Amino acid sequence: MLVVSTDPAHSLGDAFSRPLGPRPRRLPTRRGSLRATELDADAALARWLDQRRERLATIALRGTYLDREDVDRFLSLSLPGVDELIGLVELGRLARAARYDDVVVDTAPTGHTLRLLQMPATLREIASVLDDMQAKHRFLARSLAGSYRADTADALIAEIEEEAEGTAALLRDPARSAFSWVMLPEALSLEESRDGVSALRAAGIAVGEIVVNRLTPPPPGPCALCPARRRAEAAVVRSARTAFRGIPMRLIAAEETEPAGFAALRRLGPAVLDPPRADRERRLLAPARAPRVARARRPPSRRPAGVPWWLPQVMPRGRRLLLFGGKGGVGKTSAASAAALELAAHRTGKVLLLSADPAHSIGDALRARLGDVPRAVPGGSARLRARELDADRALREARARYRDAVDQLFDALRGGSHLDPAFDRAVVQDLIALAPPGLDELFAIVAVTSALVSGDERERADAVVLDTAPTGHALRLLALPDAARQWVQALLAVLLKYREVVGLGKLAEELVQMSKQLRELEALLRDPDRTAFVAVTRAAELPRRETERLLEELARLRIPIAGFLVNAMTPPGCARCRRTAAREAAEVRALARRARSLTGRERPMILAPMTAPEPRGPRALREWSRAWRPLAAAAPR
Amino acid sequence: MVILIDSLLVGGVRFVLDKLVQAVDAELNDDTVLREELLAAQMRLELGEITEEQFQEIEKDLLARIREVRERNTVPAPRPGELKIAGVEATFTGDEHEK
Repeated sequence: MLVVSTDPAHSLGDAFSRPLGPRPRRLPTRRGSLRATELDADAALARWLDQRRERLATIALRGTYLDREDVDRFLSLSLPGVDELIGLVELGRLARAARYDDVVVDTAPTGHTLRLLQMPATLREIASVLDDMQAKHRFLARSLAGSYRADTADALIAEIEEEAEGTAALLRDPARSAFSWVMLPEALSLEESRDGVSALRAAGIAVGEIVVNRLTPPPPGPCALCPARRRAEAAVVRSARTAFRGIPMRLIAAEETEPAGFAALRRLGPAVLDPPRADRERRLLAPARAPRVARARRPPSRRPAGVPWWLPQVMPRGRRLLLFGGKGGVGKTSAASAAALELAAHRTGKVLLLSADPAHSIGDALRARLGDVPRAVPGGSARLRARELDADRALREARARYRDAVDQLFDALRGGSHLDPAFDRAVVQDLIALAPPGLDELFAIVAVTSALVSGDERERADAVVLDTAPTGHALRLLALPDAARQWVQALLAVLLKYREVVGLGKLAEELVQMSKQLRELEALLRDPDRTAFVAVTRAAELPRRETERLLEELARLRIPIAGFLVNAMTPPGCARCRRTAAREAAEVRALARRARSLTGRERPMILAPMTAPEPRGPRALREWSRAWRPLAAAAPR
Repeated sequence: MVILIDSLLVGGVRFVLDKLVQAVDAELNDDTVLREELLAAQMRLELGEITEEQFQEIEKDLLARIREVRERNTVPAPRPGELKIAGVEATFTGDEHEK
C-alpha cells in the first residue's frame, strides 16, 4: 500500500507526524505494509527531462529553426505549472509499478485537482506538437531515402502518447480507480463540491463516495453555538444529498482534537472505511436535545460604525494589493470578501475583489452572480467590483486571435508559390492549441497588473484584494513573474539572434513590453508599501504547520506579510467548546511565537469568531468582520 | 523533386520569409530600420546585456537619427510590412510552449 500527496503544499507528513519526502518512506503498521511519499514536482520533472533530454532536443532541432544552444536554453528553464503534469505522470508510474497493490492519493484542493485530471489531454497535445516537429524529418527521410524507419525520437512521442492514454483510462475505469470527494458541512464547501463533482463527471471520472467531514456531534450540555452549528450543518447535508443523488455519502463526526499521528488516524479508520452506520448518522444529524441557550450576542452595534481597527493595520494608505492565502477550507474567501467590503466602505478609491482560485467562491460568499467581467456587488459599496477570473476563456480568446494570425501569415507566405510550409503551420497551430499548465496563475497575475496599472480609467482599481488559491498554488502564483521573465528573456535572446532572418517585428515589441511589466510586477509584489499578504489559518496543528511553511516561502520570495487571520475561533459555550477554545488559544499563542521568530517582528493577528451559519452575503460578512478581535484582547479568556 | 527538397532543406518558412523580407524591404525606409535598432537596444537592456546608461546613449543617438530621417522625408513611412513580420511571432512563440 502506498499513500501519495500531490498537493504542492503537502500536509501528509503532518497528518502522520512523520517527515516525508519524494522517496516513499515505510510507516509502521500492525499488518501489511504502508509507504508514504510527498511528490516533489520540480525534482520529478528534472528526472523525467534528464532521461529524455537528448531525444527532445533532437526533435526540436529537426522541427524548428533553433540550434542546439537555443534548444538547451529552453530545456533548462523551469516550468511554473509543472505540479499537475508531473503529478499525473508520477501517479501513472506508481499505479503501474507492480510494487504496490493499492495507491491512495491525497490531491491538491479542488481547482488544481481538476487541472491535474485534465493533464492527459495536455500530454496528448505535447505529443502532438512533437509529432508535428518530427513529421518534416520523416517526410524528408522518405523523400531522400525512399523509406523511413522510426527512431528513438518517435519512440519518445509514442511513450508520451501512451502515458496520456494509459493514465486517462486508469482514472476513468471504476474497476481500477475510485474518487472520494471530501467536503466540509459548510455552504461554500458545498457549492465548490457541486462544481467539482460535475467537472469530474464531465471528464468521465466517477465519484465513488462523498465524504462530509467534521460534523459537530451533539454537545455535552447547553451551548450557545453547537445547536446552531449543527442545524446549519444538517441543512448542508440535506442539500448535498439532493445535489449528489446516486452517490453514496459518508458522514464523519469532528474529533475533539485534530487527528494527527498514528494512534489518532487508526481511531479514525473505521469511520472512513467501514460501511456507514445509519443509526450513527441519524444521531449525528438529530437536533440537539439539550435546551437551547440564548446566544451570548453582543448588543447590536449601531451602524454605521467607524473604520474597523484592523483595516489601517493590514491596509495602510498607499497600499494597493492585499493578498489572502492559506490552507484549503480555512476561510480565505470569506475573509478576503469581508476585507474588500470594508475597504470599499471606508476608503475613497475603487476596490477590485479578484478571485485567482480556479475553484471560485467569492460569488458564493457574497451571494452575487459574478464572472470574468468585474461586476458591482449588490449590497456592497458602489466603489466595489468583484471578478472571478476565467482562465479558460482568456485562453480561448488568445488562441482564436493567434490561430487567425498564423493562418493569415502562412497564407501570405504561400503567396503565388505552390510550396506550402505545411509542417511549420502544423507545429505552430498545435503549439497554440496547447494549454500549458500554470495558466490560471499566469492570467491571474496579468489581471492584477492590468487592474492596478490599466491606462483605461474605467478599468483601473485603486486597490486590489486578491483571494488566492490554497497555499501551494498561491505560492506558485507569486513565483510566476520571475519564471515567466526567464521565458521572455529566452525568447528575446532567440529573436535577437535571428533578427537578420526574421526581423524583430511586433513580437519583439510585445516581449520587451512584457519583460518590463514582469519586472514592475516583481517590484510591486516585494514592496511592503504597496503589497502585503494576509495568512489565513485556523487554530489547529495542521493549518498552523502549513502557515509556518507558507511564511518561510513568502520570506524566500520576499513577499511582505501584513498579518494573520485566525478563523473559526470557538466562543465559550458547552464544556466541549470551552475545552476547544482553550486548545485554540494555545495554538494561537504558538503561532504568534513562530510568526515573531520567522518574520522578525510583531504582526497584527486577527482572531475571527466561528459563526453558525457561516457568514454569507455582504451584510453578514460585514457583521462578522466587526467581531474580529486583536490577539491581545481575545487570547486570555 | 530535387528542387522541392532543396527548398525544404533551406527551410519552409525561412525560404518564404526571405521573399517576404525582400518585399518588405522595398517598402521600408531608414526610419523603420532605425526603429528596429532601438527595439534591439531595448531587448539588450531587458536581457541585461547593456546597462541603463548605455541604453540611454544608444537611444539618444537613434532618436536623433530618426528625427533627421523624418525631416528629410515629409511623407510618413509606410508600414504595411510591419504587420506581416509580426506574423513571425507565431513561429517563435510556438517554440516557447513546446518545452
